[in-house]
Amino acid sequence: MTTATPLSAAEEASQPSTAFLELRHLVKEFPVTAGAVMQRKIGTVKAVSDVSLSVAKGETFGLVGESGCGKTTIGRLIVGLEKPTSGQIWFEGSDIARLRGREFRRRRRDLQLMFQDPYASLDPRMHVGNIIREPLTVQKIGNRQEQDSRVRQLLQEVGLSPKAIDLYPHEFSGGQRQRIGLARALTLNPKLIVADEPVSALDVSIRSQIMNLMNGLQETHGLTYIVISHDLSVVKYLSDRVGVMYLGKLVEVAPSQDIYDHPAHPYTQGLINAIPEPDPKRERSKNLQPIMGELPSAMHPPSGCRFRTRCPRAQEICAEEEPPLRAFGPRHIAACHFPLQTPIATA
Amino acid sequence: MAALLEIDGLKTYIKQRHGQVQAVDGVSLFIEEGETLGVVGESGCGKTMTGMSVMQLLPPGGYIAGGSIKLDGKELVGLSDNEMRKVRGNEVAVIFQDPMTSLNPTMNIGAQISEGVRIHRQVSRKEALDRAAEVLNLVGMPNPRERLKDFPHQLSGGLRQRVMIAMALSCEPKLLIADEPTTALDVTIQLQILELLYSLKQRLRMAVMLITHDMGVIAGRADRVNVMYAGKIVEQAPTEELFESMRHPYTAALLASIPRLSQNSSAALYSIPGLPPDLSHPPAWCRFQPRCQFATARCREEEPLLTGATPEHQYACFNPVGKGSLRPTAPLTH
Ligand SMILES: Nc1ncnc2c1ncn2[C@@H]1O[C@H](COP(=O)(O)OP(=O)(O)OP(=O)(O)O)[C@@H](O)[C@H]1O
Ligand SMILES: Nc1ncnc2c1ncn2[C@@H]1O[C@H](COP(=O)(O)OP(=O)(O)OP(=O)(O)O)[C@@H](O)[C@H]1O
Ligand code: SF4
Ligand SMILES: [Mg+2]
Ligand SMILES: [Mg+2]
Repeated sequence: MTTATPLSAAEEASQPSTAFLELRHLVKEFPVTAGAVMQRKIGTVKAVSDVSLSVAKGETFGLVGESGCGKTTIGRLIVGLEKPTSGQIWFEGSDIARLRGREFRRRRRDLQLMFQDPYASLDPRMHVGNIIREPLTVQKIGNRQEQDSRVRQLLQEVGLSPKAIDLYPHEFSGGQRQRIGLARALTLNPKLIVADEPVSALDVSIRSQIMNLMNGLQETHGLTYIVISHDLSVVKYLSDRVGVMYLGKLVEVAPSQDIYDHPAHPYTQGLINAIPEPDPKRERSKNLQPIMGELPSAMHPPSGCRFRTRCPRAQEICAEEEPPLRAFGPRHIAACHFPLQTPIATA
Repeated sequence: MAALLEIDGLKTYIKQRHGQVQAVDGVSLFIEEGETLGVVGESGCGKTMTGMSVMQLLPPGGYIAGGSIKLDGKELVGLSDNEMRKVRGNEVAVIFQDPMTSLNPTMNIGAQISEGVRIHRQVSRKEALDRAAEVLNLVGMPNPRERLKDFPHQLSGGLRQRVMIAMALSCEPKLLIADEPTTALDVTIQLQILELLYSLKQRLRMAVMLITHDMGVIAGRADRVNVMYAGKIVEQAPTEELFESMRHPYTAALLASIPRLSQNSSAALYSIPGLPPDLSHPPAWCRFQPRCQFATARCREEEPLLTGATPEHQYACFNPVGKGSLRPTAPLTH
């Protein structure tokens, strides 16, 4: 992303985005309350803290990081289930964070969320056919017959028998429920699907079925995916580019093979080291240096670089100054004062 | 010399309103002193029920329908509750995936650990508390003395798992059953806990039954592996041998369907079609047959038993895959 004349922050913020999807300085704060009856506010959590990124049409962008780093919140912001505290979400030329009413509902059709376990998020008393049909009914699209044939077509696409129409979610296995979730996400023909931990609840043998299905559907429907997972191997397999998050911050973004081959951020490196691979020789020859300590409180994140309390490379400046995102390659950025490789320029 | 733990033909069934689940159906395995045995398999294949049969902590309706479990030569099947209580915690201890289910939320940590110590050792309250602080220190708990007064909910998931390990180890058991000890944790914390378990195991010369669904965890930590499928052991081998020259098609297919960090991600993953069988009506033939791409007529007629050229490497299959042939040529379509 090189522009002839760099824009000032204010200018940049007022320019409409030409990217398919672009998050600009996205911030989401949640109040933290205490007390069972008299809920009083004791602070705020910055679940998403100044995150900017853009995603191209047809691309799969993966978000990875440990629990509580803000992945799900970003996903919910993108599909409009939450409103940002500040920042912009540009989707095909409009800032959807500012849309309201009918216009908002219309845009939202293009952005769908696929839940971790549709069983937990869908009405257990509803037939699967109606679960998949519901978005059509709500949006008043098609007559009963047209809706029926759409439901059948969707079931077939995700590899389920038409018999599923009259069954309840609990009559399906985890993998089949994930297929139902995919079918429902596809009902309105969205352009982008946010898949939040799409295979985390599934067994290994079922995971690859769902991941291959997702890849296939992406091709046939020209979909763009945001894949969210705490599992870097899953994210790397599915994604073209990967963003690594830590405590609300995006700390590194790179093409998925580069993230693994040449991580620049010590956290990314630590994450890679920590993932056990099904290869005894490799595992046993690994010279592991576990990331020390525990995740700090999200309410009181460390000053400067948020990773510094657990970072093997941290020095004084890491506590004083927040490291800016710098470029390490054409599509590779990371925010660290002492990165594992030399940056090429300031991003 | 006999092994520390010897399980022979174990059948553990769970009675339900309609019929019963044959959760563990003829499992035989052994663990030598100081050894880590990995037990790996998918959800519902009977890993936990195997471990819980050793502890005799079965869910309502659960019972041991047959077989034998010998710990240090002593038969555990048929022991009274009282006798089992002496074995549990003392000779064999268990840690679970979710420490919250086994920690008492209303008791502070010091009280919980020292209570366990006092059941098995004739010591004063003060000595038991000292022991609690000592084991908390052993498991790398920061400021162990002060932590004694903390309640479980005040700790992070990783610290709670450290408390569970401290409790399990307070009486220095010979065998630790670790049932998905790190599945609920973030990977960076998982690595800390696995390293901790390994160093404690070395120090205390303890044997570990490491139950997990994660082939990566098995690869790095187990000396030998038992692969379970639908209530049965389908393959057992030393770890390196299993990963290099697995013979059972299920083991091969499972390994080929895992995305690996070190692998180029553009290659499509193998995917195993279908689902495991319902364990309330398991078939009388090979339980993997409907999902197996190597299945022949015989696989639907008879049950394959564990065999192999060496006693170390055994597999239950009529058409074992050959070395290196694990990667099916094309991914199966659904
Ligand atoms: N509705 C909410 N109210 C208050 N705090 C929230 C809310 N949703 C999320 N948070 C907080 O925001 C932070 C980010 O949460 P988020 O669910 O986005 O993380 P995540 O990366 O998806 O984690 P996980 O891997 O556990 O799913 C956490 O500290 C969380 O506790
Ligand atoms: N409390 C219970 N009541 C009834 N059936 C049970 C109970 N617990 C387990 N089962 C059944 O026993 C079988 C074996 O379960 P087990 O818990 O041993 O599997 P597992 O291999 O530990 O799986 P996971 O990886 O999910 O923990 C399963 O078919 C399961 O449905
Ligand atoms: S900025 Fe400092 S503390 Fe943060 S990751 Fe880099 S070296 Fe570590
Ligand atoms: Mg989440
Ligand atoms: Mg289990």
